Amino acid sequence: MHIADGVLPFSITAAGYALTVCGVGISLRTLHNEDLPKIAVVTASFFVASLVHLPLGPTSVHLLLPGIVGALLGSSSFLSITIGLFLQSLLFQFGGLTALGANALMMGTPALICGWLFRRIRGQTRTSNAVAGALVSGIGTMMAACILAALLMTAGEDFWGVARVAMIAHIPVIVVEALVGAGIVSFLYQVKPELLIPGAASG
Amino acid sequence: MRLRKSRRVVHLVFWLSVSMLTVPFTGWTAGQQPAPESSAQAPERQRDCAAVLAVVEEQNRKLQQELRHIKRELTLLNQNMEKPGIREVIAGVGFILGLFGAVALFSLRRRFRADREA
Repeated sequence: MHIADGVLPFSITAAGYALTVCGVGISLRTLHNEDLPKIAVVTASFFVASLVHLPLGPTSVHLLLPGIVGALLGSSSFLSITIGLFLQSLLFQFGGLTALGANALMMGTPALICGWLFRRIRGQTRTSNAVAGALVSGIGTMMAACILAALLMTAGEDFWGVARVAMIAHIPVIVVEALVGAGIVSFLYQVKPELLIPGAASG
Repeated sequence: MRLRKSRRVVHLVFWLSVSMLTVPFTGWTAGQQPAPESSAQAPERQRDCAAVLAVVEEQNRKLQQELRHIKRELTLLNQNMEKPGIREVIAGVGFILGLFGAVALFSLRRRFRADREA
């Protein structure tokens, strides 16, 4: 799920860049030195996760993980996602440098919201954490798909069909993301629960 | 795997070009042959022409088939080249870890200096 170069009008691209700069600024403001290794690992996972392709009929879709990034990093997730998308556009030719702002906005906003939501609903037990992880992952992907569709619609009427197709194509991704998110969160809750507290020093 | 495939493509292209190089010469030799002018041989000539035409068309079809095959292989090769490989993954992960390592180093240094001054 990436917007390619030259699809969006200039105003949307510029606005995306401006908002991305704001988001990265907020991330840097709330950055704790003790969290740096965690952010690095999550960024690397996010970067690589887009290579996990799920065959789906004629096309294939890939994991996105905005929900999990948000749940793990909280307010630092915007920075992580921007770096990950930047490297993806450089090395994998996913999206493009001019569309980087819009892409980061598309993935970063759900991550921020999901991080906040995850902290609200995670509860104390392992099951409730896993359910919250699944929910947050699914919602994150859904929001990213919605933002993608909205951005594509600003590009003109030609992209309405594309937007609809993108929405439909991401329904299985939402399911898979929810399963992956539940797995990751329940595993982390068992092995290293302090990782699930965004912003807290992870020892 | 990729290398072998590209070598096969190169071979095919080479033989195709060689066979195409011979085409003008065959046409030249055919043109050099003295044409029999008597009217009694006209139907025979026509039959010859039809035979030659059939052969040429057959060759054309074969060539086209092979060209299509080569084109398909080329697009496949292009697709394979575009797919990010393990090298890109390692480069990206290394970049991320290096970036955050550098940030951690600088922040640690700053704190170290502050501690010493305090």
